Formats: sequence, C-alpha cells, structure tokens
Amino acid sequence: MENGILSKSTAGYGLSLAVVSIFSGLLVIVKETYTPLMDWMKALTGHHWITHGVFDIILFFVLGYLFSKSNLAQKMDADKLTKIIIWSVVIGVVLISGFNLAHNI
Amino acid sequence: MITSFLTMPHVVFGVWGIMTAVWVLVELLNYSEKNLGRLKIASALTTVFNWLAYVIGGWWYVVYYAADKAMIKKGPFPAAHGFFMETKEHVFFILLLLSMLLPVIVYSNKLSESKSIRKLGIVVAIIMVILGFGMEGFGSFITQGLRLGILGGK
Repeated sequence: MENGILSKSTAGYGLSLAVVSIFSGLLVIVKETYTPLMDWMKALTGHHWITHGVFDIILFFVLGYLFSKSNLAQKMDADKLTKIIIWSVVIGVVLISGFNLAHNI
Repeated sequence: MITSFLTMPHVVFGVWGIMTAVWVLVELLNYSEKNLGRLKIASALTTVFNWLAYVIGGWWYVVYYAADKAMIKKGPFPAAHGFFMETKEHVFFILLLLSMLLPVIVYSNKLSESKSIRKLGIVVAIIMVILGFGMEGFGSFITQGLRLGILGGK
C-alpha cells in the first residue's frame, strides 16, 4: 500500500528546515556586508556565530511548531517535501559557499 | 598544546554523526518492521552526535580559534579561514537541523505504508552524509592552513 501522506510534524519541521536553510544563507551575506547587524549579533551573545546558531535553531523550532499546527500536511506529500528539502539545502549551501568564495578569496 | 587535542571529540562525534546517518540509510533501504527499533535508535543517535559535535566544536571555536585564525591569515593559505572555516561554520547549521529532522521522519510516520516517506528519510540521510564528509574535508583544509601558517609556508 502506497501512502505518501506525511505526519503533521514531518511536514511542519521539514518545511521549517527548508525556510531556515535559505534564511541562514541570507543571514551570512547580510551580516557580513552590513556592519551594524554584525555588531548587534556580536553584542547579543558575545559572538556573531553563536547568535546566528541561536537564531537558526529557534526559528527552526518556532516555524516547525507553527507549520505543524497548520493544515500544511494535507497539502504536502513526501515527494514534494523531498524536492523542497533538496533544493533549499542546495540554495543554502550555495549562498554560504558562493558568498565566501567571492568575498574572502 | 593540550588545546589542540580538545578539537578531537568534535571530529570524533562528527564522524559518528556520519556513521549513524549511514546506519539510518542502510536500515531504510532494507526496511521491515523488524528493523524499526534499530532505525529509531540510529536516527536518535544521529541527532545526539551532531549536537555533541556542535557544542564541543562551537565551544572550541569561540574560546580558542582566534589565535589559530590569526596564524592562518598570516600564512600562505589564508583561504583556510576565509573560505573553508567561514563556509564550514555556517553550513554546519543546516546539517544540525537535518539531524533533528531525521528522527521526526522516523518516529512520526508509518514507514511501512509509504515508500515515498522512506525515500524522504533516505534523501535526508544522504544529504547528511555528503555534508558530513564536506565538514570533515573542510576541517582538514583548515588544519593544513594552520600548519602552513605555523611553519611559514614550508
């Protein structure tokens, strides 16, 4: 029997991962090019990387919880989420590595 | 010198994170109700090992890396920091999130009823293995950059 209907938590946290992957890549670019944001992130926890990680993890749990409570799972099947996760991770990694390649070498 | 060895648990837990992701991959490729228990253990361990790699590596990075960074940037291979460390420290967050998603997939779905959901778990595990090996490889470039910085490019 084939049933691609995801649990609410898988759909919610899967989509949350996709959003945070891209958010994290964009945050690298923005914080490295906009000094006031970098300074604020440093001041918040003592190190911009700690703040970045805290933002990513909190956002992952908050969005995952909210998406899980929505009716997202009814619209999302496993094949669709698989594609979304692959592409969001690719975009996140390309944003981070591409920026560092262009900005630091 | 002792601080150099404090990075070792970070590397070890990172490798164990890769190994448990491979374990999840194998269990999903050969899925049956009989191996569901092992699958649950492996997926949970993937989260635990990646978190340990994150906390230990993060602590070392924040407390001790500044001196190494200065040495790398003065040396002949500054990209060891500028590209490899800057990329590694941020891509790792995606790996950490994937490690938390994997047990959600395993624990909250009826895997026996859906090949598509098992495929989702397989894809997440494969991405984790690729990113995990990337982290290990980038770590070796960073170490090499530090070594060259200390030896003055010799």
